Amino acid sequence: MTDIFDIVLLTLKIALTGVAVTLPIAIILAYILAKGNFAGKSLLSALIMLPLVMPPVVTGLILLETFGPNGFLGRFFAIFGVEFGFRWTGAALAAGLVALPLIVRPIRQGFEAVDPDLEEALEISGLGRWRRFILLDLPIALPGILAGIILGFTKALGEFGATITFVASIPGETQTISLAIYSFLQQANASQMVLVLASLSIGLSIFAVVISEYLTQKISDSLRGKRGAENVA
Amino acid sequence: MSPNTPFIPEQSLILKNIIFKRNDFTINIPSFSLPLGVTALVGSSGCGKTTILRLIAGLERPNSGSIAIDKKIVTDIEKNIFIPAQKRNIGYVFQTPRLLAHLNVMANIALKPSHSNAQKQHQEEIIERLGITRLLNKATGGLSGGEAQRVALARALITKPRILLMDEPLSAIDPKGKDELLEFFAQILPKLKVPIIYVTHSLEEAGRLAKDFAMMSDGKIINTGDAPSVLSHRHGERGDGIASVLSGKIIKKENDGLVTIAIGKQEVQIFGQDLEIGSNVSLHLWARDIILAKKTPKDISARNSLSGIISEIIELQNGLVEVRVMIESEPDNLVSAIVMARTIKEMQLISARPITLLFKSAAVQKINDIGNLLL
Repeated sequence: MTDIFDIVLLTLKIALTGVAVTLPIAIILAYILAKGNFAGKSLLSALIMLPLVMPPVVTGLILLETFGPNGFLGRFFAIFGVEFGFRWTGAALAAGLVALPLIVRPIRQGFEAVDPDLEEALEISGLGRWRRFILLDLPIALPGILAGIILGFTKALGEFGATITFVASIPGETQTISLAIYSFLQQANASQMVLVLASLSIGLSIFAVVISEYLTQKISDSLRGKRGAENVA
Repeated sequence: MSPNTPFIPEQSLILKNIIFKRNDFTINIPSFSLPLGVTALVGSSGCGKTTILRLIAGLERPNSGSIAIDKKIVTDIEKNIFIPAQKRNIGYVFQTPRLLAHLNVMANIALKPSHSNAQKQHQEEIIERLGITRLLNKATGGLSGGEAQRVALARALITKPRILLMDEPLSAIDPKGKDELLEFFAQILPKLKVPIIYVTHSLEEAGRLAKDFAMMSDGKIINTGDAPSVLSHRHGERGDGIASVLSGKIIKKENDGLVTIAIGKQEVQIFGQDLEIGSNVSLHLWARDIILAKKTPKDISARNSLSGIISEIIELQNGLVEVRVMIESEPDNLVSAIVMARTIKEMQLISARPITLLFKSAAVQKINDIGNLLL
């Protein structure tokens, strides 16, 4: 059973790290796509969506060529002591990249839902872009950010193709639940492990979605102000 | 400032050669300067009032021209100067309050943290003067329309703006709240030490709040000055839209609705149920509704006759003449009448001669009632 516990822990570590590193980048990209009006906006949007439509094995291959031990970015990060090739960090990178489009989309919709009239009112009140972002855009986009985190996290939990191509399936290092299920499927007399891991995988996903629904509802209520509560009172 | 600075304005706001085009609509303001105090910018819907405010605020960029606020140039297209809205230090109250629903009232007012004691004191002063202390911890969703606009006004004043722009702030409020807020504005606005442009299409609001008027039509400011002068010398499309404004005091009210108004030592009778004895009233008279007589005739249905002195005779187009008559030797009480040019000859009318003006009660309207007629 320790094996299973370690696999789950490693999976959570990889998925959480992947989403945590991707999130700030996703917020910036979503903000630029929602508010910006520039040449190449469609191209940027398509580029971000690419990991969603590209075969995962190709995504893994690109990662291997760029972030791998011989890739230029791989060598660059190695200077700072960060290595991706066949390491859990590489699995987190693959998970984060594959999750990126799923995180960006709801956050972008959140930023697009910000009432331009309110933005104008804050602008006139002397608030610069950063303050407007903190006071208005971020709170309004919060349900979208949350949805993005959950979607990205569940995607990262189940990531398979890019991960196995980029960092292989090394027990204790890169072998997440999905990779472990695949690995146990190849072995004889391991059907019970497969069943347990598959159930855990389903359980984690359901848990994440339920939490997401609950938090989204809470945030939406507080964004609408307490008008509803006062009317009832 | 460099020697080739286009102009160094003395007034709080100056617009020069502003042209702004959007689709088929054009704003064209060759020159406009704002006096101190409250100025009402009046005109019908869609004539460009809001756009002018947006141009001043920096929310729109004109195609050409320049805008200076408090001696500082904020827009000068020719010199490629356009200071962004957030750096113009302008107070703006919109048609709707535009408050953030996820923040309480206090957080909506104090959007920027106030560091110095002077700032905190100013903030407290504004909150107290606007009577919103008890609302500070409330959610904005729980405010009435009038309360929300007070909060919006507080937000606009907290930054000590160099100019305050108010864009029909009563238009989205229920009638009861509207009366209260109008009363409140009438008390507070003149006391604010900031020049104010108050946009409205209601002459009642404008008359209550502002001393100075600027009238807009079809993207242009067609007249500026005090209320009587703006309202009295409007030229209608046919060139005969000349009117006059008389000020008087209500002295008598009869059961059938006939109200007697004293204009100096003379009297005018009009119909009006909602007028109170002792209150001052401004009356609007179209020049084409007035008959001139050398002697006051008897047995005539027109209830009103005012005697005065001809101060000026001005030739108009199409064989018409405007005769301006001063009532009670009071230069402010000028009434214009329009007659045929040949009438002047036949009646031998010349300046400084006494004359009698005749008109029906029905031809007189209170300024408050004429919003639809004029705009």
